Amino acid sequence: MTNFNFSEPMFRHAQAEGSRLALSVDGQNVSYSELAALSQRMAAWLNQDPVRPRGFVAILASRSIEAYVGVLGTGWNGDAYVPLNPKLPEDRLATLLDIIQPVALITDEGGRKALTGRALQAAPAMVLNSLDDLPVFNPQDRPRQMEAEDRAYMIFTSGSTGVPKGVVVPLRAIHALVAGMQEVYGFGPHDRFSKAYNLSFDGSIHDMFTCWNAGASLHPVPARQLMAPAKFIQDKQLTMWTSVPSTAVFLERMKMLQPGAFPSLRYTIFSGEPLPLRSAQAWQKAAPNSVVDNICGHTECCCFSTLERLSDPPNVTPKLGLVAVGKPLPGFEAAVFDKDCRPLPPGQEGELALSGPQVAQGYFHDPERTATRFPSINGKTWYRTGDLVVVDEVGSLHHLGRIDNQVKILGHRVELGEVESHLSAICGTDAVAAVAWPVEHGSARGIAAFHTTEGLPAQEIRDKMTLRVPRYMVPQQVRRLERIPLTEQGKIDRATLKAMLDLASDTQASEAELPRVAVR
Amino acid sequence: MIDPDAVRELVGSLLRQKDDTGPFADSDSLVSSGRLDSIDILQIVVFLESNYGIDFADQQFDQEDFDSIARILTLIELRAPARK
Repeated sequence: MTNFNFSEPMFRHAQAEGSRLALSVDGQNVSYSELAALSQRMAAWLNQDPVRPRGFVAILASRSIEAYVGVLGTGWNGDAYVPLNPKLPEDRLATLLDIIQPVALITDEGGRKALTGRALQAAPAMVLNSLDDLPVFNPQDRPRQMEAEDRAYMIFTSGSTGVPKGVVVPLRAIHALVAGMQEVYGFGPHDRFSKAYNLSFDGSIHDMFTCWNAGASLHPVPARQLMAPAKFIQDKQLTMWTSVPSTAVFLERMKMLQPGAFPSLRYTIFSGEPLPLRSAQAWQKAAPNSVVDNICGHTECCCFSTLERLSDPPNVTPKLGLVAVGKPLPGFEAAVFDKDCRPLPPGQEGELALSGPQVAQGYFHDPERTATRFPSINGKTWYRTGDLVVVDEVGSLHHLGRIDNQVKILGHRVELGEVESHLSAICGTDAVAAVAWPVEHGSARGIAAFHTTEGLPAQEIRDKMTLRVPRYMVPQQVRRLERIPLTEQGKIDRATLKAMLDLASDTQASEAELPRVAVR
Repeated sequence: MIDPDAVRELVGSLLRQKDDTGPFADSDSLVSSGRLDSIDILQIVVFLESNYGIDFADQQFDQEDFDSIARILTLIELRAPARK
């Protein structure tokens, strides 16, 4: 009987060849047998009350041994993990902990510092502050037998109503993802994986579980090297690199993508935002031994769903200068839906819908939204992505934008409605608006906010937003208008707002007033 | 000659472009605190290339090197080619 426990492959490698490197964090090397022992001890700590029902374990840790042992120990014991970024503001952490009601909380040094005030009050009774507090190793213990539909993890994404939504993903989804990635790439024990994504970013699912399934080693990129990881790739002799395309765009502009700079790389995956062709080709020259893949993913479909390999000539989305998003990964079925969820023929624009074992169970405590976004059609569950796509003549998908107000800010998924709901609370009025701006290389750099409240300084709005939302959701530009422009349908006219910002920026008026707009 | 005021002026203008009019001292962390992002760093790089002749293609550097005005001044001191 298959054990769907996501710690099982790591455990098997620990038994077969335990001395091999599994994880290298900030100069600390952890072998497979060491990682398995720590995970077992973490599971034993979580299992102090053996009759407790399986639940969620929150992991308030980042890029540390505690973070990865937390994930593996949680899975080992049959619980589901919920990653929380220690950089979140206290109020946001408290809100999330109230929603999750975790049975336990695992922290590292950064997590302990973040756990103050309201967040500390919302924390469960069981908090792990140090790996030294774990029970002794029991070599007889092994990962609990788990079933396909048991929960693996929950990751929060921005919610349009102002409250983040938790995506609940079962173990079968990780199982299918890892099998699919193994089929496409054929990873082996000698591979050395990067881990650039934070735990709370679902790209990390691939990094961790595909790596440990192959018996390979995982190399989390220290926060201080994330922006320009060239030296890290060289020093660690990585074979597999996964990150947002911004990394390539930045390195290229820094002239750090010298031809042949990364000879060790065999595989590169860019994911999380549009991939500009120019940066992809520069990366290919820097990593001549690597395939360069553009992968489109959704938190609701366990990380990765479609793949386009950079080829010569490349398949480019017309007018946008972006690499196509390709074809479904193994196990997926993709369709392009009209607004009534009827499939459209190739060549027609519509909403990307995905079906298969990687599709999540739905949104936590939100059956209505789950029913809307995960409709069942002819006996299959589909996830409606909200991505506007078209299929070309070779069957590849092209991403044309969104059908809703979800945007990507430097790779982070943001619902503008969520930003507006916080702005509205701060400004004491519904007359607020947010747009993603400026957009460069198909990817937004930040958020600009508009309001109508007199006498409210921009800095005060920003300071209050900082206490409520993650940093990438705090507006960089804040402008006061006499009124918020609306479309004929009465919706916020975001196109006009963006045009105002573009105009102001084109006229080099970064400090000057916008046309007909009172600043401050 | 290193002109610290020119660096302060540049950083100030990058912050003002984001409506950030808060105070900043030489030792304040600007990148890791999120006040400056990667695209701001690129502008600093262009400034350092054209004003001090620093060639970033040859250098191994971390984003920490740009984290504060003090760090940027150190970077210039260490990496600008000697000029007569």
